[in-house]
Amino acid sequence: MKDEKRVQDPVETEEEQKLLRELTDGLHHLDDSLEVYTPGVQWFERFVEEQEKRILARRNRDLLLFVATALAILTVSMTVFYMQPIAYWVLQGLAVVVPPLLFVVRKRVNDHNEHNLS
Amino acid sequence: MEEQTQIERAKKGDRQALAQLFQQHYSFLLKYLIKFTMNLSYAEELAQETMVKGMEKIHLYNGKASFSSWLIQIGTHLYIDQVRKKKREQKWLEREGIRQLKWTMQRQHAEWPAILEVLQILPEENRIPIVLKHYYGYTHEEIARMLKIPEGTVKSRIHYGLKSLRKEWKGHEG
Repeated sequence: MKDEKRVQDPVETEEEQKLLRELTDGLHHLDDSLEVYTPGVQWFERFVEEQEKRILARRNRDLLLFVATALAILTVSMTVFYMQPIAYWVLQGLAVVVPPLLFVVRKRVNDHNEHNLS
Repeated sequence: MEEQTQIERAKKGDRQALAQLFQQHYSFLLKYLIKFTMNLSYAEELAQETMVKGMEKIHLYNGKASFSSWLIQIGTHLYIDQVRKKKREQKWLEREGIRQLKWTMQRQHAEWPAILEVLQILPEENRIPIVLKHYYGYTHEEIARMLKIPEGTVKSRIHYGLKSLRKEWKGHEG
């Protein structure tokens, strides 16, 4: 805990200080009253080992999915390129323009929401 | 073993060092998560997810913040994500958790601090910076870095959060 680093904000009113004291006392009380069980280090070693296996399996699955998707996209692109070159170039153009446009729109929506919240 | 050495070893794939690090910080992490979830079993679940995320990202840990701060940062983001995905379920979990915590504390003849229930009324975007600032003592700058939001937003969220808390607390007392 970083209690010793706590910096008192000078703009806090007396009422606010009372509220904050109530809050910190309540949280301290919760911390002190709850007995949290911490398993032994062997449990954590087993946990890390099991999760490492899961992470590896998930990475392999994701990699497989990525390669399969890339191959599918490449196959479709090549087919369109040889069958309908115009459609191919339209798709390429859209791929360049649409993602940045979506990014800008999403950022504006987020900024707007953030502004409304604060 | 010194923590810095443990971190370096964990980064190189030393399972034992990572397990020791997690064990040392588990209680701090769990108690931190309980303050937001108000539910022991849900907090334990989140703590485990935090450790998994920590395993995946340990190579990115740069030592600027303490290891415990880094862990609670991961835990906070996981909690925020879950609250946003399952808002209704979260409220139910919190209510159920508070009921169980009250019962646990009553059994130990400890008084349940009513302010905690009032704190739960606040949205997580206000509650989290208030607890980080006023209980854990992090600075606005550190909270901004932890929550990945501008420092001004942290200040305004704390300000408006405290305003709402004061209002709710007055209503509760009156």
